[in-house]
Amino acid sequence: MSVVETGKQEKLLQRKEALERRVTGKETMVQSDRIFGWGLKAGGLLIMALFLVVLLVCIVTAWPSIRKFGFSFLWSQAWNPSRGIFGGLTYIIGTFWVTGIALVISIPVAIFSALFLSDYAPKWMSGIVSTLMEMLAGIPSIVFGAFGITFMVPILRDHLEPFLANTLGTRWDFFNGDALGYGVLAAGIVVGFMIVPLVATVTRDSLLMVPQEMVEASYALGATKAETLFFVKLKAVIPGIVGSVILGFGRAVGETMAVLLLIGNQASIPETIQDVGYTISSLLANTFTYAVIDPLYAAAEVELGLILLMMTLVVNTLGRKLLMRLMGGRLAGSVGGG
Amino acid sequence: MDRSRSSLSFARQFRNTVLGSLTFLFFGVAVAPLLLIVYVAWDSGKSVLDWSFLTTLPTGFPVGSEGGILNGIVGSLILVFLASALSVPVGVWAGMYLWQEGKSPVAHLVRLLSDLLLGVPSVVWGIVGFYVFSTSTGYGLHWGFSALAGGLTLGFIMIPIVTRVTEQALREVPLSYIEGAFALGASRWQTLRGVALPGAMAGIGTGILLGVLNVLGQTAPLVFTNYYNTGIPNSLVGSQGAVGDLAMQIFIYVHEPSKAMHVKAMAAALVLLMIVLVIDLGIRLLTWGSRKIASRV
Repeated sequence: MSVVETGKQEKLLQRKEALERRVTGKETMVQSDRIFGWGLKAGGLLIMALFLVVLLVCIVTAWPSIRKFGFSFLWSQAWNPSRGIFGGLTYIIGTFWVTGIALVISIPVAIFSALFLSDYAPKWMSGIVSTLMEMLAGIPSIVFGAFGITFMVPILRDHLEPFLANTLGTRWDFFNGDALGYGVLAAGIVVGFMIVPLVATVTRDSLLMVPQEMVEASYALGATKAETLFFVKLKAVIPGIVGSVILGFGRAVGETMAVLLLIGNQASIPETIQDVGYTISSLLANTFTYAVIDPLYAAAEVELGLILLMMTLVVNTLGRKLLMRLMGGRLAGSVGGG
Repeated sequence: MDRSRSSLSFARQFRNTVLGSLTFLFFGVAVAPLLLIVYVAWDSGKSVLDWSFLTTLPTGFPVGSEGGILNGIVGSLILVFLASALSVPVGVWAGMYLWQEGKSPVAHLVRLLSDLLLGVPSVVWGIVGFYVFSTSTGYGLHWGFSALAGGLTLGFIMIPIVTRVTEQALREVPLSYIEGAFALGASRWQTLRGVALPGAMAGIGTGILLGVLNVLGQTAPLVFTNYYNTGIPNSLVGSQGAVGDLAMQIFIYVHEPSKAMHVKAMAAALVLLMIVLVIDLGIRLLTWGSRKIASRV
């Protein structure tokens, strides 16, 4: 046999094998599909790469501070750029103050609103009211902040804060203060309103997943509408509520511009709800551009950013897991605020 | 329920009414800020808002006390364009990947990472953008505080939004269409290009607009990567490459200790608010049938 004929036979054999593979289902992809598949995989790789870039940039640039201060960074209050001593406790606690107030305000408002959206709103207006709620989520953080300065701060300063000090403040120091208008209360209230739409829509979505049989059974036992909603339906969606609150927490800790404008930006740990303070995000937005001149100063600020990032990663993974199980993969996201 | 109500005790009827009214009351409290913000911005900003406010550059001292917000409008457009130029191809690409390989473990990981990227705080994006694009020392691209640095950082923020919505939109294309294409002998690429993508185009467009909405309101990342410019630059990189931006403009005006500047800030906020709300409303009207997409990000 000549060389040419051998080559021909081998080719025929290869084609036969390829055909057999396709017919038996062992391989159904044509060559172009394989290239296409690899090309698509690159799209997935880009997401992984972006995530790695975020993590790496934060860890690498924060490293000098992590190495120098170790865990003491988390519980030291010293923040002295000129002497090169940094501890983030003031800002971490400030962040929790604002987030805490925001959650206390937003949870009841959001849960009641979700019940209204899912069960009380008449059919013809349910689309409109849901749209209103969702449009609220689209208002930029900076507009909330500007609104807070021009509208809310005067009200807080002249009415709400003196009122709190004169009533609750006489018994509990927690509510006392100088009635400046600016401070953790102002920032917390605004952030609270900013996360209501997120918590409310996720809670509404889980309320809509409650099986109708459960509701009917409750009515059949003679329960009123409110009893059914509050004692049966709400109980059934507790995981969903917890998940939505977790997502709300993740959104609130990273909130920047509105907080920066309203919290007063003073590096002290607030003792009452009328005190001024500082959060991680507002500190970074305010001072990072000065900090970059000194590598250690910059590293300390980035470490605060890294702590913030870790909090949101943990919290969003948890919230996502809870809601995934509840809603079978369809869940609302949590976009970091501006 | 109406028949049984007569036999209910007064306490239970009372509770039923009170709790029902409370849900309405709290809903009102929740959406009040939307109406209140629009009203306050209109009420305090309307005195300076006219055509020349939109079409002139800020002048005077402090800068902005005279003139308008043209720099902010042009800058916001440039930034949104740059952000979309990065995030639309990457996001759609990644979304197609997630659609195609939906159930593989790697795809699950990518989906998780993409969702986590959605929740990354904006100041962290600022840090990342600064060290990748703007820094003048160490690694990075050394573009300075510039439109390109700011725009691409905003693009980073937009990528996971576009990714998620693209995947969702592709999933809403009926499976029978896809199967039909395969039955006709189309390859995977042909199916995606010829059947799935055209069917998902409306959804993907919505996703891009949602991303644009988010990016328009972002201020914090720009503090780290672009900051602000009272004029309109000739280049997009380097020390002269920064652009103005509506959100930054509001931030800077609100920081000025003068009533007149706060009025300007509220007028600029009204303009930003109108752009955002009109886009938002447009999306919702266009996708009224499949509300799922618009409510998901």
